[in-house]
Amino acid sequence: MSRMTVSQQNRSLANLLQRIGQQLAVATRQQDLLDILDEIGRFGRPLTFNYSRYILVTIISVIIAVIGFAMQKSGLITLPLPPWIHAILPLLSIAIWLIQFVYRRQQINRLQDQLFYKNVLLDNHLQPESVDGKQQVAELGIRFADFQRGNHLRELTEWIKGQYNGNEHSFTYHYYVFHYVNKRTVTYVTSDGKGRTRVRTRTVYDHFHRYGITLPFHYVSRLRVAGFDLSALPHGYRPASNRFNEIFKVSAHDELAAAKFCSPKVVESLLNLTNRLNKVNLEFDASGQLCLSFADSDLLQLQRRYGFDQPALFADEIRQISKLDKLQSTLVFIEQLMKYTDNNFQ
Amino acid sequence: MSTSILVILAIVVLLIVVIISIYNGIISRENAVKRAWADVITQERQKNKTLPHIEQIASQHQEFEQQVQSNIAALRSAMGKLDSTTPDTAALAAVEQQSKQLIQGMHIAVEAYPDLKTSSLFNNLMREISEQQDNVGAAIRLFNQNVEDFNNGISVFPNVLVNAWFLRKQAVDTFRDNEAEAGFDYRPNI
Repeated sequence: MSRMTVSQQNRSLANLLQRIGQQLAVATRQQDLLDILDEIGRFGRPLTFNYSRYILVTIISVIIAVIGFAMQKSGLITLPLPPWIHAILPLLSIAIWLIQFVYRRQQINRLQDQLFYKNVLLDNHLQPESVDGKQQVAELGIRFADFQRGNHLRELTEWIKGQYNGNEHSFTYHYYVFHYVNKRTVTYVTSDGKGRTRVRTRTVYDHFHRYGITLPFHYVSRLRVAGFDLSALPHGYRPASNRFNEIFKVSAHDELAAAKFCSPKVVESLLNLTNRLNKVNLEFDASGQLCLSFADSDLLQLQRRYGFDQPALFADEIRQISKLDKLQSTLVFIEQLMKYTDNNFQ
Repeated sequence: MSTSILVILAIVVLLIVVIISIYNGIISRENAVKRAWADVITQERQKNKTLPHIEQIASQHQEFEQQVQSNIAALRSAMGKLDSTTPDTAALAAVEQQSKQLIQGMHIAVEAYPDLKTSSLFNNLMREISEQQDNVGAAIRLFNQNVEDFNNGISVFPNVLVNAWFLRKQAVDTFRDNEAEAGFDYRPNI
């Protein structure tokens, strides 16, 4: 294959990937995703870049380095430089090759992950919404204490709208990913090797994520069920279950409201929820909004089986309905909460 | 004071602290059992809220009324025998049995009187009864969990010694659904 052909080959692949990225960004239907896979199928060859030029350059640079090193060692040439200097050229060409290889591989992986994720969202009627992540957190932080974390940065990195239709209750909800950063100063001691020590400080940024669902919830207000690091409201309440009390702390503005909320079925449902989700908090604000937060990042995640290397099989996978079981069971739990806290005679 | 006396004294103090901690643990687990039992009784008595509604509906359907009224009377009588202070799983089983009969009667009534299906009061009532039954079931399961914690608390070593020396508490029976059990040939050999 001529040098020109290799160059054209790589350029056409780079153009294809760029087009895929653009099409993915505006895709709103499953057919849009299938069209992308169809285009990849029509591309007619595997989505791999040709690295023969890099390999050739590397081989030549290695040969030059070996010859140079041998000549310097045998005294045929004298250079005012150490012998290892000959290794720079081959190492540099290998580094460039590796950077290109890793970057392009990641680009393809990222695109196929994005395509699959978009399909999962479409299958589950989830719609990402564009919001100012920092401002949205500031607004949510006024209503829910779970957003009052992080002394350096607080932002929403995902804000996705969904609709749940249950047997007895239906509701619109938002799934979010909350990213917060704690900034702290660490003091440490260094030694110069001669017995002298010096105290130094450095700034450390700890990154954390919390995940959750917010929705209108009209049957309970001003109540918190804390399973993970959440401030309490004035009146605490302990239901009869030992196991529940080991995991959760219930508090409210009104003790009677807390006692009414903690019906046996609600207590049992919350205990069951902890088998599926970790570090769970529930907050019902004064205006009838619920924020259910947790530490699990996999509610919207499914394992992709195929990729761009098998576009036909990938398209079949896309055509199948991708069910988010963990999200679904969490929404069923919320419906149960509604069922057991609403008033059947109103 | 010699070191050996200090060591013996420290061991005695530690032993006393451990015994007090186990003693208090058993008492608090017993109280949790009592409270969970009281919750079960409270949930059972919640049924009283729905009985007037059932009577109101029954009064509009004469043949249905006779059977439902006798079921309601039997349920009220069984509920009257419940004691919220002492766990009595046999009395609870009787209430559960009467509740099931009443609900079965209501379901049969729906077949006999199709117009009931469209009655919002009836539908709300059935939903309320179903949720109350769910709550009773959950309360019983939570009670059984607390009973398990308590029974473990007096059976495991060294708690069994503390219980035998100072408390002499007896293991509490968990609630068992005899009717459901009758459907199984299998019996665990415990």
